[in-house]
Amino acid sequence: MDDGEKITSNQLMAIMISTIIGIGILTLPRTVTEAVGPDGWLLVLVGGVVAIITSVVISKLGLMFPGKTMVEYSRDITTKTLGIIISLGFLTYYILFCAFEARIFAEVTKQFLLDRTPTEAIVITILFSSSYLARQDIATVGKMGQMMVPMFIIPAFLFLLPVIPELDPTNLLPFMRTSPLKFLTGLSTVVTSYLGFELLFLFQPFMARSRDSAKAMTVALTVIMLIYMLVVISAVFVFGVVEVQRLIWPTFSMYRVIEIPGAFIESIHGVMMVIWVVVVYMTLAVLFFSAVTILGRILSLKKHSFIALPLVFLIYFLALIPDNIPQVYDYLDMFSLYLGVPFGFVLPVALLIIAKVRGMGKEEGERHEKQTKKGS
Amino acid sequence: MGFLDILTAKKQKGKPELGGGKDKASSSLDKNLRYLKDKLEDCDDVIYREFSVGSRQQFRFALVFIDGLIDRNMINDDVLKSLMLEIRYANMKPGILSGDVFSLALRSALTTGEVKEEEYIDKSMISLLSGDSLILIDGYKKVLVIGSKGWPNRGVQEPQTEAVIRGSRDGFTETMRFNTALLRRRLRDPNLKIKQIKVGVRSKTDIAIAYMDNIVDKNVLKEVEKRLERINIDAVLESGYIEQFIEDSWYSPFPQIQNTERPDRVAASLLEGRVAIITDNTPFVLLVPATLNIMFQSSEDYYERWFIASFIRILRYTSAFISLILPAVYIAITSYHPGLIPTDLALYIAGTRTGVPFPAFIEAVVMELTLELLREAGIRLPGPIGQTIGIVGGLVIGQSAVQAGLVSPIMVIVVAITAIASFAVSSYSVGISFRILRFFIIILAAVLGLYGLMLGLLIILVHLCSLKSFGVSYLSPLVGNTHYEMGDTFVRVPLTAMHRRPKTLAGANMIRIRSNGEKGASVGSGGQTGGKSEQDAETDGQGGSGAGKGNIESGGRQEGGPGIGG
Amino acid sequence: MKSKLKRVVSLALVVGIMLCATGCWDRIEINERLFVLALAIDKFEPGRDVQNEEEGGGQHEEGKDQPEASPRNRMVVSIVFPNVGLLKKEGAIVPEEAKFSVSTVGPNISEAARQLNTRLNGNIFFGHVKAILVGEALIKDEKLFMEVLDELEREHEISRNVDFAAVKGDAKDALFIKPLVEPIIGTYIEKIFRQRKTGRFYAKDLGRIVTSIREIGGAVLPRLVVAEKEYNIAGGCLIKNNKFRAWLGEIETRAAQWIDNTGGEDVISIDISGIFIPFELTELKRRMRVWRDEADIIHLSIALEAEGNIAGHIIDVHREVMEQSFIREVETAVSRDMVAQCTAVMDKMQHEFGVDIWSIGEHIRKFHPQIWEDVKDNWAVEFTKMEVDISADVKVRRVGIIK
Repeated sequence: MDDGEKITSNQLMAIMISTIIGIGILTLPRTVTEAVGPDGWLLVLVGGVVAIITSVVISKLGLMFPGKTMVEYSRDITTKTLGIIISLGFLTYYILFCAFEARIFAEVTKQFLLDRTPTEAIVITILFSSSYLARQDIATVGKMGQMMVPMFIIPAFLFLLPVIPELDPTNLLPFMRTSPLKFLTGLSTVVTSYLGFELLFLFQPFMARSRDSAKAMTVALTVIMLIYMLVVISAVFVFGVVEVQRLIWPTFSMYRVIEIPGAFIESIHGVMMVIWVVVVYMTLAVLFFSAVTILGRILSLKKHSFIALPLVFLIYFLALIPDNIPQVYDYLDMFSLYLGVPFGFVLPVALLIIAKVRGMGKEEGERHEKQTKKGS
Repeated sequence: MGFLDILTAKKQKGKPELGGGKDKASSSLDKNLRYLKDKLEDCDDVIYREFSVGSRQQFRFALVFIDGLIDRNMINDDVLKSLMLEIRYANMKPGILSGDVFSLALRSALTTGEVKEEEYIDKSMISLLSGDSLILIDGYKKVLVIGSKGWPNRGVQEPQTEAVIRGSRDGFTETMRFNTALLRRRLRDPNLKIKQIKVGVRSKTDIAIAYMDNIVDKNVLKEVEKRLERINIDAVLESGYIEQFIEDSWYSPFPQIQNTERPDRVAASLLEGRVAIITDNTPFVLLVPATLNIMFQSSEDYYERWFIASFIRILRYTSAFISLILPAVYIAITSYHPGLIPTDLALYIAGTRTGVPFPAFIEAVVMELTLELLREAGIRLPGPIGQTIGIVGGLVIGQSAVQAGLVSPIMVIVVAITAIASFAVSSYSVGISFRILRFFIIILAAVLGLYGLMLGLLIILVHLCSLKSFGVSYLSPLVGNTHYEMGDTFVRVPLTAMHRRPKTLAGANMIRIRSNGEKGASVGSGGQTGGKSEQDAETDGQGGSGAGKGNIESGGRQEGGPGIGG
Repeated sequence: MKSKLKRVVSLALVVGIMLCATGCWDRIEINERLFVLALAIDKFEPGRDVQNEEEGGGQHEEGKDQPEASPRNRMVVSIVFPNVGLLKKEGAIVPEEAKFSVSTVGPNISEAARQLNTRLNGNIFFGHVKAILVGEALIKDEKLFMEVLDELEREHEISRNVDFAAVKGDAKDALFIKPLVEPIIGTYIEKIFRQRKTGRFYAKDLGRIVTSIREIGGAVLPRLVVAEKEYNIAGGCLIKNNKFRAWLGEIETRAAQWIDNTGGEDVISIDISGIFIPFELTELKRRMRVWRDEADIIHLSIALEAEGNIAGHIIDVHREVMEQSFIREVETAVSRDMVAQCTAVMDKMQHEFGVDIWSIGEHIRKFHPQIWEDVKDNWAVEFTKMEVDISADVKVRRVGIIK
């Protein structure tokens, strides 16, 4: 991996956007409305802010250990064994995340596109395809991100325009009448839609200018936040608070309702299905890539692309464990609560605190500052 | 001879000497002649002409040349005549005549333009085989090599593979020297460097590396030289051999080196900082590095005005995309997702397909293969017959197939549009890549519908992202940090707006043209300072300044210069 | 390098062969599909529903000719699909028929569809369904109706914006006529619905109806009446507490739409000095206000603003149409007429039926949350007690091209 491949901050933003927007966006309108009613969009906003703050934390943490990913500096901050345990923890977290993405993707695709194709076939094909990207280096991942992001953001916005006649903006009222307590419990469901931003700890050393990482993350997360809010608001506008909680995947159902007069009337949701494949592919590939990289670094390998293939089979088996869709989502909730929140939010903050307490990384940070100043 | 044999043959240790340099010439004329006659035994096209020079005919000379490779008139008039006859008119005192005949011949008598002295007989033999003539003088250890090349060649014609509506109509020929001449005509800059090497053990083909010294990325240049040097092969019969040996990944369906027959494209590419590889015996000149974007450009884009050029560019990209996915989309939608098209269309397609015995996938593959067959047949057949076959084949076979009920008319339309779209891609090699990839995607779509189609596209995209050509990302400038280069990809912004050279290709010299009122260095050697500061302000500290860091990669593509995109 | 190539190639081959040999699970050629364009669901009543050949009924489960009363025979499902082979003449199912209708009896739609598949030569595909019709008996049976609605919504192939209508009588009859103007039934219904030029029926699609029933337990469905060679879609059907309550007339429905602010264009004919003047309504806006007075009674005030044209008078002129006084008279008359109709409908809804079809409750919930807090548990009753005041302000803008 250390062959000098770097990513620019634009590419980092692209990677983040394409990774974080994954299967969560399908159910987002439903989950936030179930939690706080019409104020769901506000919940999304708050969740985004929390994610931004945490990513700034991770950025600072990374700057204290230039050139090192979390796998390495967790060993520095805590003991060597603890560091390895933490890294293994992250590894498991990402492998499970991949399994969820793959399974839910297969279920949704089966539901809307390919009725009779066995779930296994869809899972194995998406895993194989993602492994191709997972084997590449970070620069390729960055380029893919850069290309894919406009491809799914622009249609997502564009295709919402024809929904406007169907909108009933009053569906968002009454405004802000939810109790703060409900808000807090709702927060735990929404932050999981932002999971993936913590990958900054893995990508930061590969950036050409690590100092820009905080800014890049903020921009990326703001964009994601806006997209989420748009989706939630549109879904509530179109369906109303009651109905949106009944639809399992309101985002898709919303696009089904859209008709573009004159043109290919039915094809909007076909295009969205196509874009959906791209969205999940990027998420899955980047998560997969991260798992491969983490494992490679734990084992201190030089070339670790071969890890991808065995991992495919592991993820495949994990993905097929749940019996049915409701069970998948139950497991997902548990996963987000017990693995997502701790690893994504709690751990980086904890590491930063420990590092600061131990006064670490100051000299290296300063040395790095001097170096980058000379170089530019 | 085949490519595969070359691949699988055992690698020899070290490379055999190409230039000779082992056998020295002797001062005895007879010995030299015997050496040559031995080596060139049974080569009946080698002519040995012995003659005497001097007032008393006391100096024995021998002229050796290969009939057919030399310019007869020059041999007769400038070599033989000047040595045999005119030398007598030189104002010489008897004493001087007996002096150094060799130097006399070399410096005063021979009226040919190019004369070299050569110490090694085997090297001079190679020159002999390349079309030079040898003068052997009895009593002298050196051989005179006279540049007398004059073989039959085609003459400058319009390149057949790259016709344009507007633009020059001269194309490269099979003689390397003419090709370099065509290049010099366009770039009368002392910085245009042309380095010559020989590649190919038996063919000893002349290869010229051309580049603009103060623009090119020195790392790319070094890489080119290194890879060329590594080629260990019997013969380089065409630039294609070289291309396949020096490209970055041999297994990729996409070509990573551009080839062209047009001198104006080469000139423009050199101005962008690329390197040209001119091979003898072929009009196809290689240009590196090459990105996907470059494959979609044509010289006309820059000669026509920007509006037309932009429209045609967009058309090209669209047709390439269509040629890739249209049959697959048709298969996916009709076999898997008829709910995605408007009802009337679905009913119509269903109606026209009733009674067709094959599933859509088989229909598509059969029609596509038939079309490929027709296409190949059309190329091989001579002139008028070839064109007739195209029309006859297309119309008649398609029409009859529909009437016989074997294929549906929609399928014929789809295949026809795909074929036409694939012709619109300007670069032949990329067009072929898309044709082949089309089958891959058709198969995926036939198995998994729209989902399979998307997977295929994604895999191709990932492959494109990972592809590099001599250190430059294949997908530049779409990826990377260079937004200003986007002006030359899908559209072509007016020339006045394109003032910077593509960052990843141009090493040191960034500024291209100067519009009125713009300060800054001129496009030339003065460009160094101007170029550098611009560059630093721009990037994230990456991007190769040819003089500085060695990071060739750094995303970013290049666009064409104010000349041709190349 | 070579071993890597070998690995990649062998892997690709394995996967490729695996997929190609076993795959294509979902591949159904488009000409093997039967595109259902309209779906009709009725309640099965044994003895009454005689399935005969002309009516498309054929064999039923276990090859029986006539379905008998059994717990499995609950509804009659009929579908209509076009004869696509007509385009190719040779492949036509029956050369002269533009469409083909079949019907069967089963426990629910999914099973009925499977049964139909045992009789038909293609694969039933619901992706292009344009209209869903429900019969009177079905909507009178609450449980059956709710089951049907859920099944329709849950099915992903059927889009949420298919047109939905209640048929007076048996829905099945609607699918077996041979319409004069547009032979293909699903398209015919769809096109009628697209005629927004009349406000005489509530154009609702499946999604909205289900949402409405979920939210308030009631809705207004468009009403379809079957004649021998055509349909008539006008008026409405009121659903209360998840089942049928009453049929609404065309004029009533029109007024209801005005109150709902989804009023379509229509013509109001009023009598001025014995001449029936058609007033063409082009635009309508409704303003609604809710407030509560000291006696805790909720007031609803509806103000309609209408614009339109005078479309007719009489040749024997004795009054100028362009005169302001005449115009004022027309305006007043129209306004009176509109108010009367709206009040009638409102009265009916409030007192006779007690169904809040205009989601006034929702309006209160959104705009007056404090009031909503008090009344939400008892809204059905509160609705009937509400005091309503309707006014209409009509403006004539144009009078045609003659004076």
